[in-house]
Formats: sequence, structure tokens, C-alpha cells
Amino acid sequence: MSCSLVTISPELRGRAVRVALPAMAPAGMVPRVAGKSEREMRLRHLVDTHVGHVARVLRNAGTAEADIDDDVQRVFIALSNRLDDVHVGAEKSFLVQTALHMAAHARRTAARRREILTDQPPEMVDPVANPEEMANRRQVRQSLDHILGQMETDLRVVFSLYEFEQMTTEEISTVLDIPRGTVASRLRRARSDFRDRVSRLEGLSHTEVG
Amino acid sequence: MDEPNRLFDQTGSALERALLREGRSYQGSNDLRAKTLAALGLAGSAGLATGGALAWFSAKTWGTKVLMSISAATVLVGIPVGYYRLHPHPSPAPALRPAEITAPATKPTIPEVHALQAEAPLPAPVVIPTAPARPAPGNTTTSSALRAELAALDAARSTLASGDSVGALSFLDAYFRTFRRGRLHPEAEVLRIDALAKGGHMDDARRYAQEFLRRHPNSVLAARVQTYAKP
Repeated sequence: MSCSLVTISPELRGRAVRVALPAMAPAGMVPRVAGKSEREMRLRHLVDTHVGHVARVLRNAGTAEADIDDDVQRVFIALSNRLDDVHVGAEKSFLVQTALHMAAHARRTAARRREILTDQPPEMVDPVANPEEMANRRQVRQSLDHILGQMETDLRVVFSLYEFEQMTTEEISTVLDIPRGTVASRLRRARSDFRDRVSRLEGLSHTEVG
Repeated sequence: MDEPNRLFDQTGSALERALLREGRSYQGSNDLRAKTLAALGLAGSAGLATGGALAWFSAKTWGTKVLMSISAATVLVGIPVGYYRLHPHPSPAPALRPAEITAPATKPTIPEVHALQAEAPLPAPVVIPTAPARPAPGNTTTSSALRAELAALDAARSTLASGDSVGALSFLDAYFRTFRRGRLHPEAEVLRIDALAKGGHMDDARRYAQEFLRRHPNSVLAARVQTYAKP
């Protein structure tokens, strides 16, 4: 899979997004440029099929809840701009790649903003909550954000795609453009890390309760 | 290479399962799909329901599709679509002033859109190992109003696509009157700029485009408007 640095602007306000382009059609089999109505139908179908998926990838990759709607729209605008280059069947890969890079960009921007505004680390939601609080879905989300936010980015991405998006290691290998063995290795480490952090959280929670 | 079982399918603690369930179940806001379609200029009655989408997708002619849009708009919005189709605007729609955008000319005939809640109401506390949390209730009115907005915009868009910029402006005029606090105002404004430009009212299109960019400089729709804003 080829990779290229694509600046999807101005819709993305100049955001540079490295997008691994889907496999291009072989010579002589270049897909014809779709007519306007056909193109719209394809886009609409892709939104219908993948909008929740894109939102979930963004959210679990660290995008703030308040930014999800805008960033989902940007991901699909990027797809719209490149639709004629994206093979039928490769759209999901394109969407996931774009969403991951957009989330990474958002994380870097947020980190820079914090550096400028304050030397203090961002306010963290107390991950230790009593059972009643943990039963609250918001608390669960905050705890998940806390755990994912502490994982190495490479591990977090593989973990999210495998455990939350239920993609296969082969699909993840294609999307991230890394060997399948590397995906498996990162997944093992990510799972171990995740379970360790969950155990620590449970231990802290029990201590608090006790 | 065998795929390892997902953690969710393995035995784990209640907290672990709750965390995994949350990671899997996130879907974004209730109107995310509608907003995304609108941002792509695809706001449409055809996408209001799965059946509608399939019917739209399988329609063989654009005439059929346009009629489907108009029918849905008639049912959902109450805007007298038939009137507009049978009695086209007698003269080119007068250029609208930005101040008129929210000025109600008639009493709305459909439920007004309520302001989007900052956050969906949280469900009542549940025991962690139970089934996934159900979507928060109480958004039916908001969703139906949004669907009506989408239908209205799609009627305008379809009309514009057929080359009838005057008719499209009439639809948009009705939209702004009816949805005084609509959530898709930015999308409707962009569509109006498109319609004005296609109707040859370049000065008005430019003025509206500049006004749009002044009020929504960071909108995801700004790129579509930039070209019209240049003198």
C-alpha cells in the first residue's frame, strides 16, 4: 500500500493528514469517474454504513466528545474529495486511516495548547469511583478514556481496532501498513497493558471502598 | 495465523467487560448521520429511514427520485410542495437579506427544533455486567424535527439540481420561515448561496458568502463558500 502526505484543505483547515491510499486499480482497469448522482449515492451509502464506525474510531483514539461531530464530518469530506481515487471496498480502510490521523493531529494540538496555557497536566477525571458511580455510564467512559490515554499510541490503536472495531489482524495490518506479525505483537502487549491498568483501577477502587 | 478471541468474549472482571462494552458501543450523537449528510450536501429525505434509502437507491430515474424527495418533504414538513411545483415563483426570488434569515413571516406549522442538549441524558445506573446501555430516550421530537429539516433541504437541493434555482430559493425561503431556529441553518445558507449563484445573482451570492464566512469562519462548510466570497 502506498502512502502519501495529503493535505486535505481547506475543509480540514490545512490539517496535514498522512493517508495511506487504497490500492489503485491496475493499468487498463482504472475506475471510471462516477457520474454525479452515482457518486452521491455511493457517498450516502458510505455515510449510512460507516458513520458510527468513524465516530467510534475517533472517540477511542482520543478525540474529545465535543469534537466528534465536526471531525466525523471532516473525515467524510476528505473521503468525498478523494472518492474517485478510492477503490470500491477500500472505503473503510480510507475512513479508518483518515480518522486515526485526524485523532492524532487533535491530540498533538491539544498537547501543544496545554503547553502554551499551562505547565500543569490536563485535569484528569478521577478514575477511582465507587461501585455506584462506576455503574454510571459516564464514569465507565471516563475510566476507559483514562486507561486508553495512558497506553502507548501504537498499542492503543491496535487494541481499539481489534477489540472495539472487531477488525481482523489482516485488516489492521492493511490499514496501518505494518506487518501482520507486528499487529499480533502489539495486540499482545496492548492487552497485557490494558488488563494491568484495569486491575490497578479495580485495586484502587476496592481500597477506596474498603 | 489464528485470530485470538476478543477480550470481550473471554472471561473478565465486571469492570473490564463494562469498559470493553463502552468502547464497542459508542455511536456518536443521535443526529451525527444527518449532520454529516448535510455537510456533504447530501441532506435528504431518501436517507430518513432504511426503507427510504433503499427505495431511493433502487429508483431508476431521477424524476422518480425527485418525486420521492418532494413527497417525503410534503409529508414530513408540511410545506406546500405541490403549490410550489404547480405555481412556480412568479418572479425571480428577491435577494434575501441576512437580517431576514430568522425573521418569521408565518407561524411555524411544524414542531420547532429544540436546542441540542449539551450531553445526552445519562441512563439510570445499571449493574455493570448487564446488557449494553440502551440509547437515551427522549429525543424523538428532536429527531423528527431534524428529519423534517433534512427533507426540506433535500427538496430545495433536488429542485436546484434540476436547474430550477428560483424554485430552490422558494423552498429555502420556506425553510428559513419554518425553522427559525433550525439546526441545519448553515447548510441551508450554503445551499442558498449555491442557488443564488446558479441563478446568476452573483452579487447576492458573494454577499451571503462573505456574511457566512464572517459568522462561521471555522465551519466545515466554509470551503464550499470560499469560491463565492471572492470579489
